[in-house]
Amino acid sequence: MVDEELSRIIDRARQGDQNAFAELVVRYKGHVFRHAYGMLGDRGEAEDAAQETFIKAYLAIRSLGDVHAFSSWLMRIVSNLCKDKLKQRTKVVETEDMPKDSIPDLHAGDPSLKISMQEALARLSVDHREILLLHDVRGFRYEEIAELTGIPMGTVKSRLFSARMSLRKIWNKGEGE
Amino acid sequence: MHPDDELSAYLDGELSRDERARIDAHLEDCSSCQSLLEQLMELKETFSSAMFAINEPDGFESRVAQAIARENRVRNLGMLWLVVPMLAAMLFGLLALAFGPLVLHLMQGVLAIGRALVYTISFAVVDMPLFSGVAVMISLIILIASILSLRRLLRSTAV
Repeated sequence: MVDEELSRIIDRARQGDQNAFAELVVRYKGHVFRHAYGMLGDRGEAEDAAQETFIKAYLAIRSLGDVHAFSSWLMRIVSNLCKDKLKQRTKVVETEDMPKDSIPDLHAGDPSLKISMQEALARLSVDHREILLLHDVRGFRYEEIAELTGIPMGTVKSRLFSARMSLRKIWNKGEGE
Repeated sequence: MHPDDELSAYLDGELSRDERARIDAHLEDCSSCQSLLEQLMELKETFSSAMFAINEPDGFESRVAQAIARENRVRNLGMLWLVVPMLAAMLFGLLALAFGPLVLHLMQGVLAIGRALVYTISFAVVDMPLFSGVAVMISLIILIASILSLRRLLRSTAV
């Protein structure tokens, strides 16, 4: 839900108020950066993607129909941008456990070493990373995720379960169980 | 049969009252689902805590503001490319309105002179064929010589 004050800020930004847009950057920078970092697994690339997201949003905010849809609209921009960046990556490291679109993990050499949650996330597929970030980090409901990603509700439910099971498997393996 | 997808949706509070009751009943009898639910809850907590511990780089918003300012400058420059031809067209229109009759008068004068020249040349060619032929030949020779010397000049400057 978007509170009244935030609605007013989004509306002012939509009418071209640059200070209002700067306020939106302050409020959403964490969400956007975390999502980009989770998707790309690299701080530098995540910062570039987050910056590009806000520029795209700034240029297109006049076309935003409903101020209440701002948050999901912004997350759709960052998510699509990250997917495009992942597609552009030419070097893909393929391992038996690693899906083709996972992030190459430089610390994945020794399976007995404990891995961080970011490293575990990096070994998931793009779709699994996206859905986990949108739900467990950004806090969107299933219905919002279905609208944002353009997939049916049933797929959201099954994909989220599948993503959690994959993460659980990688996390438990990384913890040496 | 274990309720896989439903267990995840149960954890997220995304089930209807009836569906929830069904899962509750299943969980009472199924220790493996109870264990899986606990693990998923713990994993969800660990995952979101780890992600929330990530902070954006320092000075991020000022870099975004700078990038937006750059974007605005580019857009303004883009607008300039539209404005300049429009202003030129407007200026041309105004000049045509202000000096239209004068330009028309000049064009009529040029046309009259051209017509007189064509008339004179045609008579000269008919009355003095030898003189006209020699004049044409000399003109052609001068033209060819000029072209050749110009080519030589251009080649020497290119080298």
